[in-house]
Amino acid sequence: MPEPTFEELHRQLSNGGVAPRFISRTLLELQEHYRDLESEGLRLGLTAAAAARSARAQLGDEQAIARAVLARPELRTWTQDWPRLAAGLPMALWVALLPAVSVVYCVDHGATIARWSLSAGLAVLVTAALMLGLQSMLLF
Amino acid sequence: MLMAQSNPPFMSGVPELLVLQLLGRREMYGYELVKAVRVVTGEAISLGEGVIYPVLHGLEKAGALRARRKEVSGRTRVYYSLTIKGRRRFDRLAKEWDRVSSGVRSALGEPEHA
Repeated sequence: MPEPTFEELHRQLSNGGVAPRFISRTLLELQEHYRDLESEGLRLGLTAAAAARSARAQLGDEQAIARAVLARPELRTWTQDWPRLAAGLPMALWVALLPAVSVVYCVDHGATIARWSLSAGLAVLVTAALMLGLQSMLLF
Repeated sequence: MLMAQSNPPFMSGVPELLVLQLLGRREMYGYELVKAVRVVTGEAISLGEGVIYPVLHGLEKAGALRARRKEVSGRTRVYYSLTIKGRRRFDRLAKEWDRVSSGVRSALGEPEHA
């Protein structure tokens, strides 16, 4: 009989908003616990199939375990307890980061910005000179 | 007159009380702990063994227990031990348990009223 994978339990805990670290710990510990129970069954002389069945029965069904975990709000991720904060935080972070991003960009691309500024300045000067030249030709 | 104290952790706090008591003696992992509960209670309290983990994780989150992973013969064991905060929590729960159980004993020992 294959070892239980606790996929259904994993799904229920994830959907219930349990913090990932507690989900992975729960699954790891249940897996190890199952192996201990199975070894104990084999030591007592059960067949492999009977030891596996007994181990599953002693561990309890996944629904009951899921209910026990979900009954503890302290094991949930903070985004479940503060949904508005979780939704607003990324936006607030972006707003706070925007000025910093522009400063960092200017520092990192200083040479390019200087070159472009110089080019734009020269273009303005050339255009102004041409306009002045054109105006003086029309006037005189 | 003193107000009656509430006892929210009465029955639901029993696994927690036992876990704190046993981990106060030495560090243990989940499977060991469940077996120890069975032994010390004379099998009067049998838990669905998988439900011990939410109790342990809740106590760890509350700072009452400390968890550490240990590799033993290719197996990953998560050992739990009691913290100072856990010791205080145990003392408080044990006192509460004594108060409630002595109240129940006293009630059971009283003669029936007509």
